[in-house]
Amino acid sequence: MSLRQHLAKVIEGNEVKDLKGFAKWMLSWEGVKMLGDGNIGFIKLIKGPTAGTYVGQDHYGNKYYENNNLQYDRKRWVMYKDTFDYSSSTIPPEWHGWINYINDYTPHNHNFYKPHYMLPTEKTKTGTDGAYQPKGTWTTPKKRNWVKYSAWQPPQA
Amino acid sequence: MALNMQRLGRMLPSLPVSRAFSTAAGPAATQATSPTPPSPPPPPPPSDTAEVFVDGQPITVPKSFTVIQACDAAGVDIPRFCYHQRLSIAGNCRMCLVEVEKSPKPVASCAMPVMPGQKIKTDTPLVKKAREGVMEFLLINHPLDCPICDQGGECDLQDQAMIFGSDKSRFVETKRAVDDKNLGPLVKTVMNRCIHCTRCVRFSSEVAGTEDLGVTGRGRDSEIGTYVEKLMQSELSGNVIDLCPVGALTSKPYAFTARSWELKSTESVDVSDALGSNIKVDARGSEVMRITPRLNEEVNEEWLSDKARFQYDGLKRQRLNTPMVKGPNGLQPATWGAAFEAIRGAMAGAKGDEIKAIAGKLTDAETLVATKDLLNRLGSGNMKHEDDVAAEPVCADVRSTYLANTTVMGFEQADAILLVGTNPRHESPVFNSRLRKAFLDGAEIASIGPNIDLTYKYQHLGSEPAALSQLLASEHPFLEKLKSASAPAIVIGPGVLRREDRDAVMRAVHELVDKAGVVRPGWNGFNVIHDSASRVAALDLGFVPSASARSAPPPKVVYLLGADDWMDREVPEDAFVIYQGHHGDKGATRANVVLPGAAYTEKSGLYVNFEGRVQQTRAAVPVLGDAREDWKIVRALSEVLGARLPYDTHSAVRARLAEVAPHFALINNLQQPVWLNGEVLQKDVPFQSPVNNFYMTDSVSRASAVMAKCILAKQEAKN
Repeated sequence: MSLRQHLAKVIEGNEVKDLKGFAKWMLSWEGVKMLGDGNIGFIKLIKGPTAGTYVGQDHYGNKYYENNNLQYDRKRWVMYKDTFDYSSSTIPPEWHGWINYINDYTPHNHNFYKPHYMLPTEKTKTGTDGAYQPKGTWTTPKKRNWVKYSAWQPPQA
Repeated sequence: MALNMQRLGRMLPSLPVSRAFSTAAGPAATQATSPTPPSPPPPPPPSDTAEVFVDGQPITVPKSFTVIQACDAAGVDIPRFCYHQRLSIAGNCRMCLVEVEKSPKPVASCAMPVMPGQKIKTDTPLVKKAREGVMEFLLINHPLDCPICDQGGECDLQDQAMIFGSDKSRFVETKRAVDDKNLGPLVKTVMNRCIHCTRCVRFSSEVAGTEDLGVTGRGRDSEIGTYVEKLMQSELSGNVIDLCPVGALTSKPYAFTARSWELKSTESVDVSDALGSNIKVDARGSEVMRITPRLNEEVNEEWLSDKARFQYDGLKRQRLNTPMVKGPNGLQPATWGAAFEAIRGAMAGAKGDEIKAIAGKLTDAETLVATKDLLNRLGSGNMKHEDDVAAEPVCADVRSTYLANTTVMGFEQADAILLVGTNPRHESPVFNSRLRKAFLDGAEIASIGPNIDLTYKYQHLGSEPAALSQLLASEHPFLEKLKSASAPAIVIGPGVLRREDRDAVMRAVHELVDKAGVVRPGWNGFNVIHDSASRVAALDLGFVPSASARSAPPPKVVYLLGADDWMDREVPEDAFVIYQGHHGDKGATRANVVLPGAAYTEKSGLYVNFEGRVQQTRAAVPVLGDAREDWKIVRALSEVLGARLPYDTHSAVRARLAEVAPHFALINNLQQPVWLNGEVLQKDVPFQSPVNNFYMTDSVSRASAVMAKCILAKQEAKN
């Protein structure tokens, strides 16, 4: 694959319109992050859009690719939408089985059962303010009152 | 575990199961005749002993012993459900089967008297098989609800099923179901779990003396209950919870609040009455979860009154947790420093006997001595206990004039008892059970005072002091009885000490003591009982007004040490009131400065019971909020007031206590009584017990919701 073809696939996969857009993108903080963080840089600029065929996209914008000629465990990969705070917890359940080689079902070839009470998946809140904290943690705003007695209130004059 | 059903079937039905129920339902007379083991057993004369062999090991026991007692004495554990050493023998659970040589069948060891030369075997295959069979039968109708049962972890059936229970059931029929009974706000019943040991039935008829519980029906249909739905009338009803070997009777306030293995036990002393029952305070974290009795043969045996057992929820309500100072908007939270400054400002305007201290019902001896020392340093001798309501204070000069000299255990030997102005059933229910024990052993009891049900028969000689005069004047039959008795005893109640004519009544009593020879060499039958825990310690330490304080002008500063039941004339309208205590009640409401102290479960303090026994509480839970141990508050205040007390540690305060009253380093210090001078007898004023409401007597029990429920339940039962 020539550099031109490679760049064309990267531009298409990352939806940056054209070469000018690509240059602008690379010069933004996102580009700096990709050069600094090899993992996301490798996936977004080298392997991600070029090494296989595009399979689909989830509601986050994460893109899924496949190349069955590669060795097992490297056949399927995800190109995260978020460059700065990418996380495997953004892979929704319907893609989870496919990307982990548990099954071959994607939302495109399988009708997943979705009960009416099922909430949309969320990225993990670990490390953020929204993370779960047990009832006794000092930092939690919803701290339980551990005082086991009721104090006497003097009659107000 | 294969059981030979054929053999078991031959063996078990032949045992006299029905006999047990007739024994249990029988009157209390069975108690008097049944052998009650003294423990530790006194060395009996040789003719009364028998040598038996327990598993080949020879042991000499009194002939009155049963086989189970001989095995206990030999240190061999016999499983049991119905047998209890303080109750009559029922013999209906059959768990204590042992093999006796030359006996064709296993015998119930609790009901079998020992014979000389008897060879008892407790570890043979026959015994094991018999117990396994009994356990299988017991478990037939016992529900499998250990995970949700409050007895779980401290259940006799659970423990013994681990040893003798089968790992599988052969029972395919339907289990028995029994309606739960409503026994009031204290005792929760789950009657499906009942194994009909009848311990509760025997307790209520023998120890408590209220024929509340009984067995109805036969065989599979037998049920424990109150016949018609009613409350348990006894003030000792909580003890059936301890007696119940399974989870049929459990504590209602404790239900589902904790598991026994989560609790940290602290050995302490009860302060809800003046007996000083020994208790175990079970706490989880900073919370008292329950209070159970601790064995002390000389005080409370293993019983505990309902107030002592169930008032602990009052320790979580209405608590004082921060110092408060009265401002224009009433009492406001303040720092310790600000509170002490306010006190110093008020104290500056008062000198000598214008500073007054009133000790409350729950004040420990350390605080009493520290306060007394502080007031003396400030030049005041104006101090009193709140129970001292008569115009003339109770004389604290001679210790034997305000103690139960017979001692609580000594009452078991008494054969004629005169109660003067007392209702021991409410003033000290556990002590009342001792009096009942004496009654069952044949003591004659008479009472001058309130005519109420004391759970035993007594002769009511009158309600007024006039009856005392009659008893003295003529050849009264009961006077003759007291004279001829080998161990006569007179019990003066706390109500007498509150009468204006107290000295006259006491003189009449002393005259009676003299006439009937109640005080003899080796026997002192003169007893005064009190109703609050700190009363005797206050008298021992001389926490009474000094001679100058008796004629002192109204005080300008009143220091209330947890005193809530003072009379209005004690605390003048314009006085500056300091309240040091643990509960917000009448005292704190009146106070200008509130100093938060520790309740009896939160500190180590000395208390003296009405027989003069010095006992100490121990801290089971930490103090709340900004509160402090009481003697430390007085010590800190003394420094602010410029009259520094010379002790900084708890042991130094104890040393000071022993300096003031040496028995605070000893136990059970008794002295001989001397005569008191008398006043005019108020012949027409009836004797009254100061305890009108058993369930609410101090700030802890008044704050307790459970105690309030008890009162409601009693009122409903009356209507």
